[in-house]
Amino acid sequence: MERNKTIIILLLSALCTSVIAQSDDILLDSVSIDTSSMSAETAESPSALPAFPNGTFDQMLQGNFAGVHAVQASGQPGAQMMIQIRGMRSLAGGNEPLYIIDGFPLYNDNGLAISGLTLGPALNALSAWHPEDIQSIKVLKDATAAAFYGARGANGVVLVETKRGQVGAPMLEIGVQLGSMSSLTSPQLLSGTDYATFLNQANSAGGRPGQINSPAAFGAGTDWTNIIQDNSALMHTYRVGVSGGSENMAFRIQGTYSIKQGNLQGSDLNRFILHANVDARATKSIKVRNSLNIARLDANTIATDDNGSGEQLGVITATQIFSPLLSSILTAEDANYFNVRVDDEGNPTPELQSSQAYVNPLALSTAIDSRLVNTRFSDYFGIDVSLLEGLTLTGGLGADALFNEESLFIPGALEFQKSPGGTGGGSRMQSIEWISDLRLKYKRQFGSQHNLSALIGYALQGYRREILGGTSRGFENQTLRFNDLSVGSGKFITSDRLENSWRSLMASVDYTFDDRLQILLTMRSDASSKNGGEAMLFPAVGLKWTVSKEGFLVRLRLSAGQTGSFAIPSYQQFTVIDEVSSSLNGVTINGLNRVRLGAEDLKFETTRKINLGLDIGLFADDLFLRADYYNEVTDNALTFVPLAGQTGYDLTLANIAEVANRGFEVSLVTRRFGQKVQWNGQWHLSANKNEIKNLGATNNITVGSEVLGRDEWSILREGESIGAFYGYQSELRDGVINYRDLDGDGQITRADRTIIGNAAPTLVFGFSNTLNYKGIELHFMLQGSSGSDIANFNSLLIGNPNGQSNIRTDVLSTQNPNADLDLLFSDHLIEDGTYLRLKRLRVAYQLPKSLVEKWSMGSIKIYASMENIWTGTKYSGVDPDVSHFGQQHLFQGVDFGGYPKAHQIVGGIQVQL
Amino acid sequence: MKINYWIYLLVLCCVGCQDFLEEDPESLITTDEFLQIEGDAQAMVNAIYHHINSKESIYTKYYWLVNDLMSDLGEYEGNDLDLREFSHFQISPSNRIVHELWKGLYAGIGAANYAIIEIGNTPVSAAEAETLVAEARFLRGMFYFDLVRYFGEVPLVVDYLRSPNEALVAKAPLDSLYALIEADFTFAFEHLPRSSSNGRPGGLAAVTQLGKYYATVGTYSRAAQALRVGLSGSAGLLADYNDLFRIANQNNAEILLSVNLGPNEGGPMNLLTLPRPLNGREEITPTTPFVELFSMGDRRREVTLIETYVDQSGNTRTTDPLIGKYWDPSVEPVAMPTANDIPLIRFADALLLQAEVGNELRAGSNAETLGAINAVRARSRTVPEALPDLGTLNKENFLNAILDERMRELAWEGQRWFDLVRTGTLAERVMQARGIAISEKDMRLPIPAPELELNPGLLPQNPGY
Repeated sequence: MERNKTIIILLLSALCTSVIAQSDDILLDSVSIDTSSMSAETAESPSALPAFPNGTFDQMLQGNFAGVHAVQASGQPGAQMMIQIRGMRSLAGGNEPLYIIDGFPLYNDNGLAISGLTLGPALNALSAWHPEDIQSIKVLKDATAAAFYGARGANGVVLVETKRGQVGAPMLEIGVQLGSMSSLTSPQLLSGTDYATFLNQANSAGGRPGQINSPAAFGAGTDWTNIIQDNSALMHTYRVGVSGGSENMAFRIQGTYSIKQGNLQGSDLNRFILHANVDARATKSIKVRNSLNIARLDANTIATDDNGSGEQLGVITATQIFSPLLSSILTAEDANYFNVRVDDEGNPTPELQSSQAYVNPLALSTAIDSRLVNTRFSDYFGIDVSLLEGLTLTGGLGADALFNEESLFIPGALEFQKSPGGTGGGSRMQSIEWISDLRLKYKRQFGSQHNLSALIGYALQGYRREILGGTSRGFENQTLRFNDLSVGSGKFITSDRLENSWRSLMASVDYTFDDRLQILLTMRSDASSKNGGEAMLFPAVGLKWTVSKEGFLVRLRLSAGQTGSFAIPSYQQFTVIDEVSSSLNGVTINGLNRVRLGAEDLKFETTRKINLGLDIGLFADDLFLRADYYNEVTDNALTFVPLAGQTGYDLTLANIAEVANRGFEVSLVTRRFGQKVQWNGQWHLSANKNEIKNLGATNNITVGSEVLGRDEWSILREGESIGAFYGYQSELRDGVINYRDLDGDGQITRADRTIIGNAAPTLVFGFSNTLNYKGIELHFMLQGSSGSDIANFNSLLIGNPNGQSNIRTDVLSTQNPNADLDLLFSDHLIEDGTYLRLKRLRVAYQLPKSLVEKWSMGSIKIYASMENIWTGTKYSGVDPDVSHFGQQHLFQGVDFGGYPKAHQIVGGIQVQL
Repeated sequence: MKINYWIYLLVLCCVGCQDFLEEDPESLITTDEFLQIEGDAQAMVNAIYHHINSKESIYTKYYWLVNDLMSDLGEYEGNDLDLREFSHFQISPSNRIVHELWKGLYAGIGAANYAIIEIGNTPVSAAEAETLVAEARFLRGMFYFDLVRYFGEVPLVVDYLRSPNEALVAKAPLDSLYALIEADFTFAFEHLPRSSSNGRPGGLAAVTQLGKYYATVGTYSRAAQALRVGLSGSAGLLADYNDLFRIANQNNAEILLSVNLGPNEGGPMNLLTLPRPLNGREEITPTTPFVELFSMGDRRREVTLIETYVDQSGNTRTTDPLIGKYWDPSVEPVAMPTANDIPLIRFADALLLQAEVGNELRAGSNAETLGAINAVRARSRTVPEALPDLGTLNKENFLNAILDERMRELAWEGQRWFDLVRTGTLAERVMQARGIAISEKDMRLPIPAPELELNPGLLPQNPGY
């Protein structure tokens, strides 16, 4: 029945918008100056590349741009991305690029867009924009492009323009899209019988009591991974919009409602997005433009991507820990079954209090209520006033307001090592970021050969975030869940308020001679409240020389300049006195102490960039090659520097490190193939070499966010790249792990650790192809990376035959039962993360115009697409495109208990009336 | 004209928004807003306890454990490499627990220094300030006493850090460290109320600790004097040894100071030591000589060791001896972060120390010292024939008897390594109980390698490492 419904809806499906032809008849100049012409960016238009069904627009950054390393960190609906442009620069601040969405600058920190109560990884804050509403994405990387964004441009800039109305009769667009999902293959674990047999062997080999009487009786056992998967997960999207325009006014209004069920039970994301753009000529000399996006995201999340500490619940980890010998008929409603374990004889034994950190995964995914609702209003209003011939004053006001509500309830039976009664909580976060800018632009042609444009500008930006939350523990009666927190016995309230502000001045001069030589100078001064408002200058210069003759083009590009970054939280300059708690006579008492010393003399991180580029266009740019070499040095990169223990403090934030990135990028673009076949092919290849040049007084800082109790698995070291895995060298002998005594002192100590891998890829590549023939469009995209390593922490559990959890089938045959490999962070866990993936395949058919006109319609397009189709990799885990810690770039390349990505199959129709 | 106007506007805007870029951290207390009210003085002292009575403190996580692993009491058999190093006397300078001990003690010292220096700047009365300073100085003295016993010469830090760029102090000679410890305990003794109350130390705790300090540095007559003062004012031994380790009976009359734990600040003791069916990890095995030291009828055996127990299903099980001293099944039926306190200074400890000091002074037992040790023995005697009163003993035998008694009485309270190092019996006892040959270097911990890197003033490394 469900299937049939699916097929019917599929057939009825329609989707709109991207069909709107691109017209050059845009009413207004872009509010921001277009420095992109100088840059090493590759500009893509998502209208040429179909958007990811029901995804986020930043997913388009993966594989479609040279120099961009994008990792889809998680598979949960609204998955977050980790994005690096030309490597990493900061050791303590953010490494994500700056987004300029319709003129509004936005640093995307997913952690700031939530209040952090709900379980699982943070929702991608950019999912507030629907990818189908995006007209174009450009990535700015080099000095002249990025320097224009000054103190926030060092990590690269992603310029996003949304779709706008075009001159023409109003057009109604309707679209429906429907699809289904299934998880990528999960690791092959032992069946019930094999697991029982293995336990018996392990127990007798380890001298432990306990023999399960008849292993054969368990048969296949319970495949918990399978149990929590929702193989009938659907996603549907409904879009309705109107667009059109006259000479004085153009508009586009688009509403989207989409539901994405997760491929794991208990998780979903519903989005309602209203996108409305208006361009108008108010008077002869005044033009206005407004870009509005309103989004409401409603997500149910589940507890994946835990850190294995036992204090965090983890659904995926639980599927590996929870015994396959337990029957799958356990229901989430029956609290006794949450805490059941298999006794020595193989019989299920309920426990009143959870004795295990990981309980019934089905209960974890369905009995916990973890909900997030984000409402986001983003508006940017721009006005252009023509003052004199060639002189324009541009002003803009923008606001991005985010209202977040989260609620959480964990039934007491699921909580490990806590007093009974459950935990309920609620939190509210609201943030507003605003910008006000003013620019004076001058543009003039002298003679027929000299073009000059110049700009000065001024911008103020401010941000405020307030949070209020409370949790309550120990309910006598758990039926009220999070709806009345006053009834619990232990209550915790949190609130916080954070502000920061920026002030910027900018100027640029752009001179072009005869379309052959272009010189661009930009200068920007930024000041931020985060270091008390000290201003800093960011200059850049760019040269471009073009030879063009009869469809043949050679262009040389050279740019150099300085950009900055300061993606750290507010108030780092203050010494903070905060409550520290302790127990005294059985009760908790609070004291006050200086918990953090103020960081002194904080500065912007400054990156000096040099870019050398070569473009070759053949056959009137039908074949276009773009190659770039860059060298970037970040001075005074922010770092958490260890302090001597005798100071009483662990760390302080300081601008001490020097980080270099250099590399090359090659893009090849083809546009045509014969007369009837249109072929748009793009090949992107980039290589980056990252090196920590200087770390100040220390030349080693061990870092690592905790996974399964291991928290020093990475190192920052002079001469090495960020992302180095740091641990022991090991070898397996007769199924027993042996570590190498590197310092030869006769014992294995921390001094025997060394660098055993690196998470940063050496090569990142993507091939995207669109073929058009008589209304049939075939699109496929391959992407991947090579040279990166992954720390597969899952192997500590399912690769470890110590009898504490189920294991992968391959472990049984190669290793000694009862060998405990759960010891040290060693190269035993490090695997090659190289992969090539057929990311998507899409077939679309544009119905012939003659037929469509018979039905009095504008156009009809039907399509079907598949995502995550095939992956070639040697990696033994589920997915080499993984990053457990999301936007924490320092801790990339970790795989543990993550939400698995899905195969998606989607069909839809786009209709224009 | 028109352009000038715009430029004027721009300039106005730049000038007008100077404080636009000023940070005002409304949700944080900064140094400007502190020390203004009376309560801040008490709050600064309370903050010191975070370094003792919290689940993150080294006293909760390590003190009770590593001090007793480096001894004849037991062996660690889990997977933690750092604990294994302690258990096998193979401690490397890169050992993380060593580093945490160092950092944790100095963090406590930093908090204490801040309170000691700044209490006078708050509006509390002079008398109140004196008591609070005395409390902070007691705790600082205790941190330094432990630091010196662990590491020997260490930097003497008596000021709190004002800037992350401040120069680091080099190692201080033992004499000046001793002087500070003695002065802190003495000041605390003179200015604190006599009795400990609600988990806060009193003057008797300070003077007892002073006695232990004198005993450690070999000033036995002063040690005897201090301990006599301490013992004379205390309430004495509890009737039942088990009552010392019941969650409902924390900070009882026998306790002068303990690591106060609670529901939010649980300790790892039971998780590490209890049998697996009770959710423990069975990672500590007591040595056979330790187990055999308990005679039948010694109440302490059933409190300290687990040999039979009732599991969650109600079945009685037996096991090879495990440690169950901090298990209070009436409150916490299975292993979980425990709210049970860990004694740091208690009356029985002082009694046995008095016997030890008396033995040093008089080279043998006398009535007072025999009285002290026999009081401890009598308390745990459940059948008349067990633990008979000791008669006169020569110096060597009396020392052995005292050390055996301390082993039974104070096991897993973080005293053992200090006891054996102080009495010069570490090598002999560890060889006897565990067959491990140890050397001079094992009387000290190594200075943590990361600290040596940050502060060359810590060189040379302790001998042997």
